[in-house]
Amino acid sequence: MHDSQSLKRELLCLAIGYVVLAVIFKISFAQSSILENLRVAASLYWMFVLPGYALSLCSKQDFANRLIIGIIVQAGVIGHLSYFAGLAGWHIATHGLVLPLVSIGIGIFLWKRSPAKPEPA
Amino acid sequence: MIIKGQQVAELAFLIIIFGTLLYIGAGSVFQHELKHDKPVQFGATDGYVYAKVTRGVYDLGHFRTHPDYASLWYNDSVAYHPPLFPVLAAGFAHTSGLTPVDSIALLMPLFALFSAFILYWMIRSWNQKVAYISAALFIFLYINKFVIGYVWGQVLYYIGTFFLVASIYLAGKTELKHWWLPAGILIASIINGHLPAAAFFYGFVVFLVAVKFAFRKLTKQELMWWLKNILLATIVALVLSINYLAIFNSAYYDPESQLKFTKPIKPEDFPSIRVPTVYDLTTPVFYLILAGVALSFLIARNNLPHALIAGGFMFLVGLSNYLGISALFLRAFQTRFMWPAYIAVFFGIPIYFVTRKFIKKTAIFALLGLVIFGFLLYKYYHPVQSGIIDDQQWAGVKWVEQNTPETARMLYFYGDGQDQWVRYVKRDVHLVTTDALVKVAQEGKPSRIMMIEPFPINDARLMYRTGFFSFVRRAEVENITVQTGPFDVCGFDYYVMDRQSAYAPALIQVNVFFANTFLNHNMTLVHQTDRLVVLKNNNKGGECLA
Repeated sequence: MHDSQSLKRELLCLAIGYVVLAVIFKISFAQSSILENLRVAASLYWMFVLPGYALSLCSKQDFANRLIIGIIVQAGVIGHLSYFAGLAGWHIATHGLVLPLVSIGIGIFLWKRSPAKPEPA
Repeated sequence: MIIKGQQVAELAFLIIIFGTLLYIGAGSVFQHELKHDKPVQFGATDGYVYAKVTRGVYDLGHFRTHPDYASLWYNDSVAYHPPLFPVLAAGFAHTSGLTPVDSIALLMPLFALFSAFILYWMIRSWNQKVAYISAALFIFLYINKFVIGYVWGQVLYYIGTFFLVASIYLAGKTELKHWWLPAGILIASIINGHLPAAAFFYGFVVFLVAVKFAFRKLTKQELMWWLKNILLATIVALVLSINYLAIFNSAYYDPESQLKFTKPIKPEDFPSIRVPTVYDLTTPVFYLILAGVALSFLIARNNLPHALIAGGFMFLVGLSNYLGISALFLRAFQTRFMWPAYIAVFFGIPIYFVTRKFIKKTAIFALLGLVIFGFLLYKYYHPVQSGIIDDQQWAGVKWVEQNTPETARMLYFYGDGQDQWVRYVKRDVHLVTTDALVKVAQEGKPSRIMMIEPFPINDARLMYRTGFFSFVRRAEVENITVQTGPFDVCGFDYYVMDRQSAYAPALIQVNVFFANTFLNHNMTLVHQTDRLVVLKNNNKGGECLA
C-alpha cells in the first residue's frame, strides 16, 4: 500500500498538473476568462484524472503508468455509468459531478484492501 | 524534489508539443474562445449530426431516445448512434458550462491528443530518444488532409481511436493483475464508442501474437494467457455493450453491404475521394518512414518493442483499402487521420540511428525533436477553417428558434453550406434539393411537388423498441418519408430563403422568385435581414404557387 509520503507527493504532482493544464488552456483559449478556463480544466480533472488516479491506486505500476491506465479506464467507466444511469432515468445534468465520486470511492476501497506497493513518482 | 532534472526536461518537452497542438488545433478553430454562440469546428454533415445528437442528450438527460423535435415529434425513437461520446460530451457540457456542441467539438481533439500522448508514451517505454524525435510528427495531425477528420466532424472515429489506442497500450501491460477487467471495460468502450475500432483491436491482438510467433518470442504459456484473458475481457465487454449491440444490429448492421467485395481503391482514385495518403506527410517524411519501417525489421530481430508492433499494425490497417472489402474501405481511410501519431515511431527511428553517433545526451534529442516540430509547423501548417455557418446565417437560425412555434414545419431554400448544417436547427427542418431548384431555373416555372430532404435523425427510420432484441422501423411500417423525396411545397409553416450566395447566385434568383410568388399567396414576411427572409404560411396546404 502507498505510504502517506508517496501519496502526498503524487497528489502534489496532480495539483501541479492541474495548474499546468489550466495555464495551457488559458494560453490556447486566451479570449475566455480565467474562470472559464479553470472550470473546463477542473471538469477534465474531476471527471477523468482524479477518479482515474484513485482507480489505479491499487496497481503496482509506477505513478505515470498508473495515471495513464487510470485515466483511460475512467473515461470508459464514467461513459458507461452515465449511459446506464441515463437509461435508468437519472438526468445527465449531475452525472459529471456525482459519478466521479463512485470511481473515487471504488478506487479508495480497492486501495485500502490491496497489499500492492506502487512505485512512487 | 518532486521531479528530477531529466523529468523536468521531458515535462517541458511535452508541454511545448501538446500545448502547441492544442493552441494551433482546437484553440485556432475555436478562435481562442471556449464558449460560442454558434457551432464552430464542423464543416460537414457528420459533425452537425453528432452535435444535434449531443444536444439531444443534453436536453433529454439520457441516450434512450432521440428528442421528439429530431424525430418528427415521436418520443420513442431509439437513440441508435454509439452512445459513449454523446453521453460523455453532454455530461462534460453540464459540468464545464460549455454548450453541448462546444463540448463535443473540444473533447474530439482532446481525445485525439491524448491518443497521441499514449502513443508517445509507448515509444518512450522502449526508447525515450526515439520518442522525442517521433513526437515531432504529431504536428501533421493539423497539416494537409489529416485535418479532414476534424473538419468533417468524424467525432465517433476519434473516441473509437482513443479507446483503441488505450486498449493497444494496455495490451502491452500484461503484467497487470486482473488484466481482463480494464481490458473488458476498454473493449466495451470501443464498441459503445465506435464499433469498427473493436475489430481493429481484436485484429491487433492476433497480429501481436503472430508477430511474436514469427520472431520466435511467443511461449505456450503466453499464448494460453492471451486466450484466457481475451475471452474474459470479451465477456465483460459483451455484458457492458449488449444493449447497444442489440440496437446496432437492428439500426445499422447489413451483412450484405458490409462484407461484399468491391473494387479496391487505387492511388489514382485518391484526389477525388480526398483522404490522406503517405504523401500528405510530405515526400521527405515519407522516405524517412520507409527507412524506419526497414530498420524496424532489424530492431525486431533483437527485441520486439510494443510501439513498433502497434505502429506497424495501424500502418497496415490504413492500407487495407487495397484488399477491396467494402467494410474496410471507409474505416481504413478513417484510421489514416491519425497516421501522424500511429506511424510516428517509424519517423523517429532513422533520424535516431543517424544522429545517435553525434548526440549522446537525451535532452539534446528533446531539443532536436522540438526543432523538427517547429520546422514542420513553420513550413506546412495553415489554420483550419472555423465552421461553415456565417454570423448572418446564424442570426437567422436564432430568430427561427426564438420566434417560431416549437412544432413549426420549416422549409429552407438554397443557402451556402445549408445542406450541411441546417439539420442542427431545433425544428422539423426540410431543405429543397439543389437539383430541384436548378430544374425550376431551367424550366422557368415552379412545381408544387418538389424533391425535398427532411432532417429528422433518420438512419434507423424512426425505429422504436418493442422488446430487448426487437425493434420496429416506424418510417417503413407507417410509410413516413424520412429521406429525400417528393413533398408539397405549400405544406410548410415557415420558409427560409437566403438572399446572398458566394457560390451559387443563380439559385438566389430562384429563391427570390419563390419568395415573391409566396407573398402573393397568403404568406407574410415575418423576418428580413440583408442575408435572408423568413415567410409565414397562413394557408398551410392551400395553394401557394399558381
